[in-house]
Amino acid sequence: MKVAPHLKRRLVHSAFLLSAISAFTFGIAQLAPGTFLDDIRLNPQVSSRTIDLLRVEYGLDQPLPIRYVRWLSSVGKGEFGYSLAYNVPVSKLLWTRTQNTVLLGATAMLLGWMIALPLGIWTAFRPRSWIDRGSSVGSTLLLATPELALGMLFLLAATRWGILPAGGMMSIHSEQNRWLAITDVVRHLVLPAAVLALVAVPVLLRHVRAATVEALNSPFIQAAMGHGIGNGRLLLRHALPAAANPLISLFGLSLAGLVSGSFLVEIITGWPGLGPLFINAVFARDLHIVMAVVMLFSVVLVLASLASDLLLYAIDPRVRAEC
Amino acid sequence: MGGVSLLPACSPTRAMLEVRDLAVSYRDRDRTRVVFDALNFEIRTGEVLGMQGRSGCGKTSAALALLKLLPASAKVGGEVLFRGKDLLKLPQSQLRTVRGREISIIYQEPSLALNPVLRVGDQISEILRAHTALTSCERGERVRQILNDVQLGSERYYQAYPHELSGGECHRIVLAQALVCRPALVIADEPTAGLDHELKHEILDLIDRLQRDTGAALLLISHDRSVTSRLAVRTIDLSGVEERRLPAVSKPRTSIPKDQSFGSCEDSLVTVRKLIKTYKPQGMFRSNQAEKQVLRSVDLTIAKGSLTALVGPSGSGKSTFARCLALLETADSGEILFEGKNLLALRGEDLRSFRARLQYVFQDAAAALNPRLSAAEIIAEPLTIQNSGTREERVRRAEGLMEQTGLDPSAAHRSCHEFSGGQKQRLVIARALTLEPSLLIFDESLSGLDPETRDEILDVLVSLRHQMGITQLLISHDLELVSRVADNIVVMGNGRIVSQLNKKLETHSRASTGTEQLLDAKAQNPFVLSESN
Repeated sequence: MKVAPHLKRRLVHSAFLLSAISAFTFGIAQLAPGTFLDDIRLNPQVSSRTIDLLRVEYGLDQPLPIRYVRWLSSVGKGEFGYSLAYNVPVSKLLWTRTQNTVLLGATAMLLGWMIALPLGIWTAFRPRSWIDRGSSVGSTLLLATPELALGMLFLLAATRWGILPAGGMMSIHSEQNRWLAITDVVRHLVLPAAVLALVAVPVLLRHVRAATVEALNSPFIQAAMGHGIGNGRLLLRHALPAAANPLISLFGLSLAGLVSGSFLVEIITGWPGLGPLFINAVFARDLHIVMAVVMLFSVVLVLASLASDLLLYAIDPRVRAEC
Repeated sequence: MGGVSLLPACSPTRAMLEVRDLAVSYRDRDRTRVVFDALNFEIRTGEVLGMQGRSGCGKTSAALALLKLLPASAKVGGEVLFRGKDLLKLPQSQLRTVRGREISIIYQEPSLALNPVLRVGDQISEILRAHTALTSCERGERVRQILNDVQLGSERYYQAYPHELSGGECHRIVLAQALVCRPALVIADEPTAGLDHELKHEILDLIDRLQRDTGAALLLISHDRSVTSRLAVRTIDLSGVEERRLPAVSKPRTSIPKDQSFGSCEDSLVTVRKLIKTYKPQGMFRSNQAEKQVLRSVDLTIAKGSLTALVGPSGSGKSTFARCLALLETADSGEILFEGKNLLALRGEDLRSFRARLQYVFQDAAAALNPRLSAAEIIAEPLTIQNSGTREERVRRAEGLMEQTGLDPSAAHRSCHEFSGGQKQRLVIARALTLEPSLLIFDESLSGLDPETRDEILDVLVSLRHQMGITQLLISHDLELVSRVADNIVVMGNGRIVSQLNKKLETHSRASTGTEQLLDAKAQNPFVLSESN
């Protein structure tokens, strides 16, 4: 089997999967009681006639399949539906929000791997050293701390000492100068990114350590030691490539988390990403935004797993031989 | 456990390596298990010293102890003097300059000793990089030269990954690794284990030639007397060190009386008709390769309760046939009738329940055991999967099976990597017996064992058939060996059955073509024996 046909088949599969997810999500969302207009109906200044007119205008009186097909056609036009709350096509809202979320997610992911990879390798190489014990205790503590509590703790520290801005993405007057604007965003980024990275590190660390320990215990590493290969070389050139397989799959998962992992943190730190948009849309029953965000997550997940498979194919000769 | 008696004394001034009172023991929970407590020997420059002994007597431990390569759970005492320096007292940094450069080691299982994700050429080059100041070009040059020396001259081998090489080629690669820095001493730990007769001699010839060319001293470790006696001038024997447990099976040794009736021997358990298997070319860059037909219409009947041996040279399709029979691979066409049911048509639940009735004992026992499990867990795992019995019952059953296969039940809690090669093979057999299968397939399970262990395991097989009536299919390249126990011998060559001999019925059929070529193909031909049986 060659790569190109394999890729083609995977993409066809993915297309089927995504359309199934979209139909399923659309149906489920409709099962939930209430529509966008229910909140307006509570307002005594709006007459029921106006509400009926709005119902017709938004197409909410149409049966489910027709609404689904309409949504699909708007996806085809690149609008991804129409937000009733914001009164704009969803694509306009989605784009900047996605950029903000990816900026936060990528920074956190980078930070998480930069901590977990060297620490995991080192603790695998020197088990039961004080670094290993310390990192084990630390990661257990972090694993047991809820994301929410960690975020609150950081916010508390930020307001108490005033080193970092507590929430948001930009200060009000930061746009006068480009350089100032960038440093301002970075300063705002530190807190949520640190929380996210600290949440991810324990899981990554454990996987990296376990994979490296397994590689180091394998007979071929013992053999390389017998050939007098030095420690650094042994670790980086011999053990790490052999330990890479599970880590690449994990990397694929963390790629998928790039857009979906930072929800809660975005909400509590007021980061204008997809998280607050999604939650508000759910409460407002602004269906098309919910649909668009869910589909975005699915697409990223599918692409991330494809990317990790391709990476695996590129790195491991045994996978290449099986394909 | 006493010290190992020594060889003829030789002048201490000329000895390159002197081992004095070497002791190795393992901490095993609370107790200490002594492997040997006073091993003494010496090796002179350019000398070949053989080291032999049964499996489990500590040969490999001795080899690894010389270079301080034993795991942390091992305690090593005594002195290893190499050119006057005690290797056991050297700090790691200095020891590293000795390993691979002055003393190199050839590991027992080459396919496991090679890194699966690095090209073999680079793996040899890495050793040069660790010990010399050569540039990468010079290293490449030197690697190609050493590959040429081990008769793997083509550029394909430099670029190959270990999984693309055959067993014999992997042996040559680890040989090249050991010799590339021109060490003063090479330790070869079972360099021919698991190889068939022909390959074994090729590798020994190669070791012999290279040893003469380079003038390196050689410590040759093998359970096989014919190997050590062929190259070594002197030989030490470690067998005296540990008392060996004999299997609890009280059956006469190996040979079976011919007049014995095997119950319903005439009923067939398995009937194979016109089985064909073709390997298609795989991978990105191999599309221009031709298809390889491995099985060309194989017909075979295995009688219930019989012990059938399937013999033939490497590449004759024996293993593929067995794997197809066990449904580990899917045959292209043909029929496999197991008690009248066509296996190739089984699906789902039927297929799952069939799998318990047939057990496959793999060639490489070490690779078929999960190193994280204890012996009892390994043997009881099929029961755990089937969720049968309580934990205590399962452990008791595991201990019973260990007893039955000649293992010490008190070792049930030990992790399986602490067992020797022969013991691992018994573990695998014990595990295969757990579900009381009706057919057992042994795929070269006897190769790589020393003669005594092999005989004991053959005893186990014979007793299994007598006591439990288990039908067995024994795949081997060693016809002399299987002819002692098998009542039906099937010879395969080139994907076909070329000859069949039924001991009980004294019938002998032979397809006219192919057999003679097969017989001529080997200098020392084991198949001749089949004619005289």
